[in-house]
Amino acid sequence: MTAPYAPPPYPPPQPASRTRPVVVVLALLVVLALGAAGTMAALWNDARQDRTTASRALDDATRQVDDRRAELSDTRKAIQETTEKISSLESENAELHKCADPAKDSIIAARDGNQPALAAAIDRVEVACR
Amino acid sequence: MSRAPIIALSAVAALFLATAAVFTVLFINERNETDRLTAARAARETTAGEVAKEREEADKSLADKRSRQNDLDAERDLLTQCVEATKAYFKLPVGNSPESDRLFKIMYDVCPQI
Repeated sequence: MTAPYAPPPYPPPQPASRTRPVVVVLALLVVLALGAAGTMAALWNDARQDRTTASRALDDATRQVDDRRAELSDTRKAIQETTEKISSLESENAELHKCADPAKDSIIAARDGNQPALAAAIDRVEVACR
Repeated sequence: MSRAPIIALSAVAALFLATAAVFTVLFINERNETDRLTAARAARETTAGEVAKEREEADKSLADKRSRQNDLDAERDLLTQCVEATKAYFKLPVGNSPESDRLFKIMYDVCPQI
């Protein structure tokens, strides 16, 4: 017969810990958050390098446009100058033709032995080539 | 069991989550900026192509005009020789002289080329 208040022959069951699963979940969350932070940091770093590369490429493209515009401007200026020279030469040549054409006609007439044409050409030379 | 580990782990998790959020925002900003720069570069390259085409046309126009100028220069040289010889010839007294022969030879050689 056992005593009425004797301790049981096995230890009484401990109450289940309620904090342990929370700690496990939080630890898992810490690991996931750390992984996410690391991943995003790496992605940000890559994106930063991409942005630097894109910025350099934009600078190059802008410089290229500026250079080509400057070259185009120079070419247009040269066209303008050449056009003015052409206009000047055309006027000058037109003035020279007034004397040179009858002179040419006189030489051709003389070479061909065409006396009437030669006389007419010489008359024109004497007027135009004063 | 103490609540200290829960508080500590919560704080660390919150810190890492906040860090991840910050890097996410930074990443999105960088991507948006990269996209903007890339689009701007594409526009610049299109402009560069258009300017290059205009330059090509301008170069061709300039070459044509320079060719025309060279032709006019050559014509002016002939005209000048012809006119100067003619004027000098007709200022000489009538009759043959070495100078009249020289001038007539110039006229004979040059004027018909005009």
